[in-house]
Amino acid sequence: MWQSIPELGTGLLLASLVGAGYAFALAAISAARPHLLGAARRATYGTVALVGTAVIVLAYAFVSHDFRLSYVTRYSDRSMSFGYLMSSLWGGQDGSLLWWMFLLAIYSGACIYWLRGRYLALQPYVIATLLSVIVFFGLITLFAADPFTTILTGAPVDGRGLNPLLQNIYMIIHPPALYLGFVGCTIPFSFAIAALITGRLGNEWIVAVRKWMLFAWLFLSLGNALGMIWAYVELGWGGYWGWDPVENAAFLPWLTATAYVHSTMIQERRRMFKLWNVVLISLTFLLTIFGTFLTRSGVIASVHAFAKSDLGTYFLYYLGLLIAVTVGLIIWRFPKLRSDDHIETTSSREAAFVLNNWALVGAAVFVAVATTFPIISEAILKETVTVGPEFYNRWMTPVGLTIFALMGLGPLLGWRKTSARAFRRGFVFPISVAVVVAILHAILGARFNMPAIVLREPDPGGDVVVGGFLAVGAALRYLGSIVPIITSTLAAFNITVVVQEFWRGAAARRARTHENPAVALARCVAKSRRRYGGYIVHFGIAMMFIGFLGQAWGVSGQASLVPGQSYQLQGYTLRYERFRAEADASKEMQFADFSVTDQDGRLRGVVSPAKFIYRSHREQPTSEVAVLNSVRDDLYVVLGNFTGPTGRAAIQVHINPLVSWIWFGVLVLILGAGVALWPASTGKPVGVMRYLKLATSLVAAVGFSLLLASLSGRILPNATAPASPSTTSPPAGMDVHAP
Amino acid sequence: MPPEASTENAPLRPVEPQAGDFDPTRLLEAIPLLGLLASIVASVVYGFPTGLIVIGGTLLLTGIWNLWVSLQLVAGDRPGQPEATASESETDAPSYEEEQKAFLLRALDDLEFERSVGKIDDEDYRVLREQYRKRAKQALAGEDAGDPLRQEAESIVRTYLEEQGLTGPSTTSPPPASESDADEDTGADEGRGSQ
Repeated sequence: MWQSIPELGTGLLLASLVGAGYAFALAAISAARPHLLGAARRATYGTVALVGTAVIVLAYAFVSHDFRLSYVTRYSDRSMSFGYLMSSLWGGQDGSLLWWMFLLAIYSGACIYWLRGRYLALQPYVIATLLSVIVFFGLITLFAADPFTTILTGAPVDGRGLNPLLQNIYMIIHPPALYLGFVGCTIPFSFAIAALITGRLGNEWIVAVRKWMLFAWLFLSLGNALGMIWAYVELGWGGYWGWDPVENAAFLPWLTATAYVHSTMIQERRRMFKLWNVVLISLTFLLTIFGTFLTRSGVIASVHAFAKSDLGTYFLYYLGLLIAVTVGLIIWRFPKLRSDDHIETTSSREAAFVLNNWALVGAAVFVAVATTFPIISEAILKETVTVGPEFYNRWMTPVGLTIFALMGLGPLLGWRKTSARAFRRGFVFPISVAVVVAILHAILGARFNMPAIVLREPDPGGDVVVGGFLAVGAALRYLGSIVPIITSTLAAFNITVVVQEFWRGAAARRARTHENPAVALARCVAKSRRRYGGYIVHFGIAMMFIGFLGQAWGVSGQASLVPGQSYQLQGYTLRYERFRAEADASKEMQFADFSVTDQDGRLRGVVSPAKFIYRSHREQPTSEVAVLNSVRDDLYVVLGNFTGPTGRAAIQVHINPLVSWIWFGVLVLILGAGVALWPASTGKPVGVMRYLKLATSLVAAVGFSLLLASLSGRILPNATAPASPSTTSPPAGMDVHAP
Repeated sequence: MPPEASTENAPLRPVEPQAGDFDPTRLLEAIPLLGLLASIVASVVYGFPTGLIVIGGTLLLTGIWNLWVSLQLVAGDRPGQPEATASESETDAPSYEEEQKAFLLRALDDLEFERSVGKIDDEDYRVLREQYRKRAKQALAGEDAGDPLRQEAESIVRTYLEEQGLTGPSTTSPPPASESDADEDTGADEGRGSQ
């Protein structure tokens, strides 16, 4: 096996492609000859297993340091721990495409297994669509990005190692999470295509994709959040979201998927928004492919992008084909996509959801245009116009706040219309709380270094980009000054709405059942998991907005200190205690230890920003950020230059208020999505096979966990070191990460 | 492209074996899981690379076996299951009608809930409830169509109505659930009580 790994890997890719093509053909034919459906399903399972085998072979090549493979040489070395060797699977262009195909194969297998006797009229087209996407990725992987390509000059003694920026715990979990979100959007898209082809555009496919879409949305959210954490602890500029094109590429499908998970409720309940839902699902999938094109083509400059390659051309043609097919089908089925009902009044939930759709799609269009503007300007104006974070922040802030306001309004509005009485009952309490919070913020905010209004200086760069919209841009800048009080007011409104909804639900149940309040609340949630799961997600997003708000009050400073000296910034005093140097198998590490005290002189902790010099990337030292977290703010310290003999260290210090709220909000969001996804009991008797499967799965899960635990020492040898790398941007063409 | 569906969501009905039936061939489904277990054992005893080889080998065999079964099904060398049931042991998958029914009952429940907390007024409640009930009746009728018990029940009702001299056009259609029954099912009375 050792001798034949490259041939075996490429052979498996070829077999996967043939298997996928065969399964696609069978699925397509089975629409007319249903007896072939079973064969198509078997062929799909076979393809899934072959793709899985190819991934396992590549993983084996990594752990056995098979440097005959060019991909293994470029993205690993002998000093790397097991965990990072595994993350190298998706660390580069070729492996990440195989990883994408692998996840898509798993999704396809799971979906087809789940389908079994369900949705038989849709099944052939669902399977065919899924397989067609696998075929595309199979072609790309085999002919344009084969990770099993060998080095013609022979195997080197050691590899070049993984980019230091990727040697971070979040890089082990962020890409798979984001990929799960991206790839997961293929399943709903396949159902939409099947519904369009068959003309079965009622609730059938909407009900079928509900949980698949929610699952993909959850992982899109999680992937984006983990990417934010990685950027925060790794890139060392003090923030977590820089509107980088690759970040935007991951954000775009999240926007349209969010619109869909709301819009679908209207079709389920009122048989409206059929066109919206088909378009939103299709758009979400197309945006995942578009994002992949952006990341892999090299047409945009990004710290996250893969090296420039000609893969973009493949993705561009594929995107064109997908758009043509989808638009053609939508036009063909347009008469069937008309709503069965209409919106009665603007004060209805349906109207709020239309606004929500437009706001989210508008945001997606804005971000997409701004992201591709450098390419557009290059093509039309023959000059590259850069769109910076300030521009995004200025324009996206009002859009984001509009969506935030709609998020609070939606649950309070009734179907068809909201009567004056219902309006009073729903709105009085949340609005009262919001007004009280606004007043308190205005009065007390400055005392806690969180003023309600933060005046913004004109930003020439931003205005130049705005061009013909200078006046609007200036107006937005002034609007930006009052963003803190607007955000805190809306956050209070949203949180009160959620609390009120739980309260009203439990109270209504108690009135009927006379249960104890806690039991009534728990049963209320258990009975309507989707509704209350959604409210919990809203609560999480409100927490995240509070975290985003902290940006308005952030302060930064820098200093050059020798051991024994101190530096003060907004109530924090950092005393430079000592310098120390350490080393492990893969790198040399230089730490600067600072003790941190607050304004009352209490010790808050020790931070140790560092410089890491990896043996495989000596030319690319990384700065390891040290963060002292608290609910109120983060003390974020970056080590810049370091002078050996005196131990003089140049540091950058950022105080980032409320950042922890974002991460807490993400946890709450995951909890809410989990509640909404939790399956309902069917009440059916369970066969012996179910128990057998459950027992085997449990044993396998526990065994796998124990195995991972036993390997933990090898997985993360640097776990005790402070967070992670880097103020150093990698040179152009270095693969960092991408969806 | 296929012919247009005659009705928008007319369901195909799978044949559903009894949920408790045990089919020994289903043990084959456990092979990947057993492979995973074997790879864990191999990893612990011989190291992770060996575990990878074991799981890779299991996957390869699973792939080849499934493709072989697929070819046999295409060639007709292996008896396929009835066309509507696809290939595998799908005894526990709820049918489209069951899912629709469950969804509509939940929707009715939600409607009651929204009324009980005062989010919708009586007129909207009535209109929406009628819409849902109409759809629920269609789903229930679809689910029960062809059910001998239902036909027997219909026959009894028809006979009874004829005996009572109450036959009319409405008796030719499937008997809908009575208002009070539906209200009981969806908790409507409970909702009203909290107003």
